[in-house]
Amino acid sequence: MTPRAEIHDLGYEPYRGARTPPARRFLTVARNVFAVAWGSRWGVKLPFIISVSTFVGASVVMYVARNRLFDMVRERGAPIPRAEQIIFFAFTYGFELAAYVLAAVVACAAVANDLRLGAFQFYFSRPLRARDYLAGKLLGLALVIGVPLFTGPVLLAVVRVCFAEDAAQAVSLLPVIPRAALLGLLGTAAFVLPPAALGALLGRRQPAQALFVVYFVVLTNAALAMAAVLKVPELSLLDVGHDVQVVGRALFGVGGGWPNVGPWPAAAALAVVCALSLAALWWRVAKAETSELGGS
Amino acid sequence: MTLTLALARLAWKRLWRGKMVWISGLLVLVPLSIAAIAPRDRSPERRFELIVELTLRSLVLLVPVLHLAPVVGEESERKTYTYLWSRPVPRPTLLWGNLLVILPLAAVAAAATLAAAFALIGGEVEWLARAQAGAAAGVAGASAFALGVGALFPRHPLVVTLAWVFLGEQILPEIPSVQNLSIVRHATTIAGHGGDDPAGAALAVAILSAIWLAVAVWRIKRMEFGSAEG
Amino acid sequence: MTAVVLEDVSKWYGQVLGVANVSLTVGPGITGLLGPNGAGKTTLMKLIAGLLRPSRGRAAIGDAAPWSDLAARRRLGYCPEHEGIYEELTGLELVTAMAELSGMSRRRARERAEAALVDLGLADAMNRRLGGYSKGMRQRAKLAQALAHEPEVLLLDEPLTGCDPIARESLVARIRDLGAAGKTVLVSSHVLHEVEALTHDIVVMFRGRVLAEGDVYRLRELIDEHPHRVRVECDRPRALAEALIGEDHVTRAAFEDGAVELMTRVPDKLYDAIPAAAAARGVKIRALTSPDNNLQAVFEYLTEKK
Repeated sequence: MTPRAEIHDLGYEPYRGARTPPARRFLTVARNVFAVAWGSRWGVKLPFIISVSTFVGASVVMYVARNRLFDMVRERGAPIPRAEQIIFFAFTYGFELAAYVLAAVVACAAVANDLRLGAFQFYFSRPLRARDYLAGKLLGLALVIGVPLFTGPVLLAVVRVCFAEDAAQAVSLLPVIPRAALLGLLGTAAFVLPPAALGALLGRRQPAQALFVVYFVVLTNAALAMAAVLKVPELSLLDVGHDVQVVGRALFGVGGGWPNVGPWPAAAALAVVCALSLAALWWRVAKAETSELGGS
Repeated sequence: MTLTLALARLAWKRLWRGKMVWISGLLVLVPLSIAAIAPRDRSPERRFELIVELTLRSLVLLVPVLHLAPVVGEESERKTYTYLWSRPVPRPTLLWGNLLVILPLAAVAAAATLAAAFALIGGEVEWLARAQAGAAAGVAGASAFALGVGALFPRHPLVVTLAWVFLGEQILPEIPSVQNLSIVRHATTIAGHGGDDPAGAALAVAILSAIWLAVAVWRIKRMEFGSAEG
Repeated sequence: MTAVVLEDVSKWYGQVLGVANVSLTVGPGITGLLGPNGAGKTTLMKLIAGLLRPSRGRAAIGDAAPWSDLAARRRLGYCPEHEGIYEELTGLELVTAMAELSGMSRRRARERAEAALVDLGLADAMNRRLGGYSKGMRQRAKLAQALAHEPEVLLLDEPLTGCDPIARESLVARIRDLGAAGKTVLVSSHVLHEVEALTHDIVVMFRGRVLAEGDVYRLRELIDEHPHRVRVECDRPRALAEALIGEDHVTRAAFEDGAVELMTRVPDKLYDAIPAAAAARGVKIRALTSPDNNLQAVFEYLTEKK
């Protein structure tokens, strides 16, 4: 006997309007990350103020550093940076500070809060894939943290080109822009992926923030100290921030920064940390996608 | 006192079942690792001084901050304050209960770390005693500071306190007019590695701690949680 | 017997109004606090629990203000509506700690905690961590911590949320027992039949204000101008309707299979007229009900009017 089946018309009208294509759904997640971050008041506005101050201050210093007087002093061996090298110092002492606060406030919380609040149920009860979620989160975080770390140095590089004395000098300075962009990209990756992964692995914002700070400030300094004491400079590769700076020094021709193992090993170490972070994020989100739906 | 003990028991259980305790464990390992590899060409006194400074700046400052700064904010974030403050519990009891657990634990962890480092390096017992006294004072000051700032900024207690620890505590000791606000500076003096008035430094830590605790008590008593809901 | 008293209480969250000019006395027995989401129910509960300080007016349990007086909170048990809980603790540890914080000795607190958890059906789960509890189990653990120290005043904010029908039935029975035992129980909900199962004494809140309070049937009577429906199940509904439609207070008649629903402005007159009309026309009445004599109707009427 054929089982009876019937669909009752209860007046339900399925949505027939336009739908966001699956490939672009991650943009919604990214927008949400950006909007939530912007709403977190001083956690975001303070870094923004630091970034603007750094930009203005560095622009002024760059303008002054173009002076021929400084060239003459520099030629006599004084350690005065060239105007374009100011970008590297602004990145290290200003933009990175802002990014550090943003990473602690926003990146550590991005996935951790979703885990704590059970938000995965809302994400994955829709036609959203784990990779869309992850791409959206990372893009959103990159947009937030990229404001100081990417936009800051790139704009400074543009300012440096604008400060050129003539067209020929402007053309010769143009490579500064992609170098600043590369430094910004590496910095953004270093300040987005590890803290987001810590948040995903620990599942709670505050332990993630604590571990992020302990890593970035205490453990990395311990690694640098050990590198110095044991005379094993490779130990410094454990410090992601230091790795970014080593690459930055190479890009902008700034010397020093011991222990300096060279840009390629530093870039490779950075790539390994980012890949591990990404793997951890993927593992946690994929697990949540399959196991955290439904009520209890 | 009964209420304080009840809240201390609660804090104790939550501490050992939480994740922060592992992060604190990492902090214990840092001075020990450095003590183990400190170059032998330097004198034991210099090597121990290095370990004391590292311990004061990391373990002593950070363990109380990591555990005590989020006390108020976490109750608010998880809304568990509703269980506590709808009971006949004076609000500052929450502070005392947590302090009762974390302060001795952090002081013992710092003292044990210093003792272990001392065993590795060697030297005069007086160095260790003074260093442990400095660590104890530092833990007390950092604990009070963490509670005060945590109550003032319950939304981002860790970020604010850690920013202060890593920026304020680096800059303050270098500025003569405000260096007395630095807990690390006083703890270092008590530990015998800077300054020449340990009694004055101990008094300064006591005053700073009292001020921060007063701030925490003032804030928590007036704090209202909740938003327009239901 | 302890009463909860609110005198002209208002609470603002900055520019946002929580509750406004609430004057209310809640005595022993069960009182239902009704209102849609955002009506101010939780704010009112928090004001009574001492978690919020009134911006204006006075909230008191007995004579003591809960915000400032520990004596007031000693008499109180509060079950919040949110799901936040100390997830690292076991159910037994939570309830014991909370009973201890309410002033019980440690030993007594543990005994009472065990009893409360067993009573609420958590005997097997009491030594498991709360983080692993289901929503319904958490709800019962929250109720247990509110009951364990035997308070005189109970504030239960959406206490049945997340409970399955069996648990719901046993919780309703438990809450009714508490009311019958003379405790002052204030139960908030926006699910009307939940409150209806517990009590007929209600307080209706809407947009931060108390719209109505008292017995649900008396409230219904007070809404005179609101048309009232009476449903009569009988063998000849049209004949009955013909006899009644001529009455000046009957405004409408609607027919169903074997029944007529009459709408009137004066329900008592209609109730008098129906037997007479049935007798005159030889209509056999099987049932007489009023869809409007329930909480849903009162609630809808009161909130729609605003």
